[in-house]
Amino acid sequence: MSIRRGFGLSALVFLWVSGTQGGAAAPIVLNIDHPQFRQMTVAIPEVAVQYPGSIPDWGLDASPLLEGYLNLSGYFRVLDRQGYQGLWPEKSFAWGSPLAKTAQKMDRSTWKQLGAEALLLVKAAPRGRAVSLELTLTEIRGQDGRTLAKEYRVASRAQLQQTLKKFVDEVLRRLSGKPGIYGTKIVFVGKKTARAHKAIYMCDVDGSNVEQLTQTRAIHLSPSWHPEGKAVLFTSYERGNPDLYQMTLPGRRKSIVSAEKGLNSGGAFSPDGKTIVFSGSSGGGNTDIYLKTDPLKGRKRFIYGTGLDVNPVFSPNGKWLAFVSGRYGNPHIFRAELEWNRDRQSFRVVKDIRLTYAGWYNASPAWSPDSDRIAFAGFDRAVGRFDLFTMKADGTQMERLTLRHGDNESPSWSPNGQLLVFSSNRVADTNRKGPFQIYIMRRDGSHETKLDVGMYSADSPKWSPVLDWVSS
Amino acid sequence: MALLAPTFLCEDRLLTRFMGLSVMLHVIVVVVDWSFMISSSPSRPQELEVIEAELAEALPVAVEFNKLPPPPTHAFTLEDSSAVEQAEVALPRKTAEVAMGKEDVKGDPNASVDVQASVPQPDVAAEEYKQQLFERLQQEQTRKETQKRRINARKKKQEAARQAKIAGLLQRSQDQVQANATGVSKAATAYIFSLKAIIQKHYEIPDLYRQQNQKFVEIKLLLGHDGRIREIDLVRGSGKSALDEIILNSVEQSQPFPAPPRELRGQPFILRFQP
Repeated sequence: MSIRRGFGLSALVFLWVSGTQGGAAAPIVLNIDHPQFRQMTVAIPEVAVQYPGSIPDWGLDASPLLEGYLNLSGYFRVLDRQGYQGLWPEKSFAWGSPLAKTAQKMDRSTWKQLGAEALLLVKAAPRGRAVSLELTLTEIRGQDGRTLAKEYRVASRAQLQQTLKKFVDEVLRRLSGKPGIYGTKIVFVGKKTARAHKAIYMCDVDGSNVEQLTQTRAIHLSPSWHPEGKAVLFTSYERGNPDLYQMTLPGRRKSIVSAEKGLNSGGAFSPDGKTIVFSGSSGGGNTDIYLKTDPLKGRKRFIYGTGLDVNPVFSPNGKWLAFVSGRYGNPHIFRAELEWNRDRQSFRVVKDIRLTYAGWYNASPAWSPDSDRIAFAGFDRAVGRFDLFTMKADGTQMERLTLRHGDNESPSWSPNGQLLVFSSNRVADTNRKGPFQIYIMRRDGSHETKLDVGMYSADSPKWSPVLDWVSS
Repeated sequence: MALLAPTFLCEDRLLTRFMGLSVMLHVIVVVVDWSFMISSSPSRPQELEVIEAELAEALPVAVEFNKLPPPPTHAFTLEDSSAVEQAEVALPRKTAEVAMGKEDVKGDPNASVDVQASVPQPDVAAEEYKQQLFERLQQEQTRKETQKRRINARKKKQEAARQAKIAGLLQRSQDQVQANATGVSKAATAYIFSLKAIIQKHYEIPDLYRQQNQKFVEIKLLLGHDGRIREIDLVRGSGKSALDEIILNSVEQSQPFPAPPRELRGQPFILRFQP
């Protein structure tokens, strides 16, 4: 009897105890989405050398150069060295010195307290007449330890710059999974002096290594890239008529794509590179959108109607074609839905919808690399200037990127969707207008930086895809 | 007896008796029928009353045309708006003329009115009264207009609030279904939403980790009775330990949470973070 009672009592106690654990209840799931995005904080201390004077002075520039390249990428915020002044030696220190011991004492928890999420250490040593660089990127958070460690051998300052750009691209690829920006180029229309003819130029994303692509003395306009960077399309007046040309890269062989009488301009490649669409004149002052699959055969008209239809651009996923149409009066951006046939050889337009209703003049649509958003230039009558906007691919969620800084036109996205290149005629930081120049900004409109390409004026920039022939 | 007369003429007694019986039966039948007829016919006044009573219940209150508001007299007040409407209809032109300052007003309006004076005097009183009435009508009109405007504004606000509420409900419908499925009360649902809002506010990740098809991160959270974290565990990671650590830190930094209601004490939560 007492045993039974004991059993019952213990059973009750067990149930009571297990009840208070709270493990009986099923967990409630809460969905949390739409995070805020911010830059990642990275600390780049001074270059560590074997002993002072062991490497040439340009070797010590590795740290500030890395700082500039990481800043430009738009993903990083470099921690000010003042923040760890007392803890890390200011001047380059030698390994094995007491300063080095101080540096080694800085472990992860210290860096975490300083607010650094990543640490980029540079060690340089002489290797004959060149410099051997050891670059280490460590993520302070997480248990991955060293994220990336690379060793390079550089013999000159120019080679140092190229090597560091390659390393930053590697960092971006490792951390974001998307390609970096230093393996790409920007093509634009430039005038070296006020009286020079407009020519097509190509430069690096930081404005260096400017090369002239077209040599003929005539007006050249509206360049655009092949989806794999194999060629550049542009319009040239060298035969007295605006003809559409193609120049292969890096070979620089020029050929005619379309030379019909009248306008052949605003050419763009399809995502498979087989079709070229462009705006062509249809007689009677009307302009329609034509396509060409074979440079030897004629053009085919496929978007037409009342009003001008210009500036066609394929979406990177091949589903849509955005263009500018004046069919309802003022130019607005439209999107045509494309239907490809079974073997993806040809397509036809199923229907087109109007994307922009606000504004008075909307032009130059540019698709983001994931076909999610479209950037464009719209004239704001309240300000009296063209400004850059982005919207979703269906025309909703319009966001403004520039305000009161002159006219801002011709946006183009970087291949990772993080940055935009555009042309602006602003004078310094004011709203006054001068000649157009090339600017780069982040996708939310912040950090507008001018690219110093050494031109009197530069406009119509286009960002290339990741190029496999870029020397790096 | 006259009926029975022919029976006496018969000499046969049986026939007489038979004839008498049949006559009696006929009389009885007639009498019985008549009495039935009387008893089954409706007593008219009583039934009609019942029907009228039922109708009165069914129909709305009849408008009694004798009960119109009285015409305005000197003793009317502003609250009697029906009277004002009547007056508005009755006196528009005359009062307008008075308002426009035509020199129809006999005598000085500011002069004291002597009721015992000669015949023209009552006109002044009447004009004064009309003036007062007009002013009161004006005031009443503006009052009604502002009232209407306030009502419209209130209605608009209510409508906007209703739309916002609908939008908010639609947005949270998934969580609500879940909350209801687990049999959680209203107070508990409110707590869950407030918890979610706090965590959402602190959810911030580096742009580098933004990806289209990233796996979501799941964290199991157990709160103590005072709202502090008792247990926090990573149930499912994104594959990047740094990102998991950042999200864990953000939840820890969202403390202090409000104290959970009684039925949610000891209730584990799973936070699913979508990049």
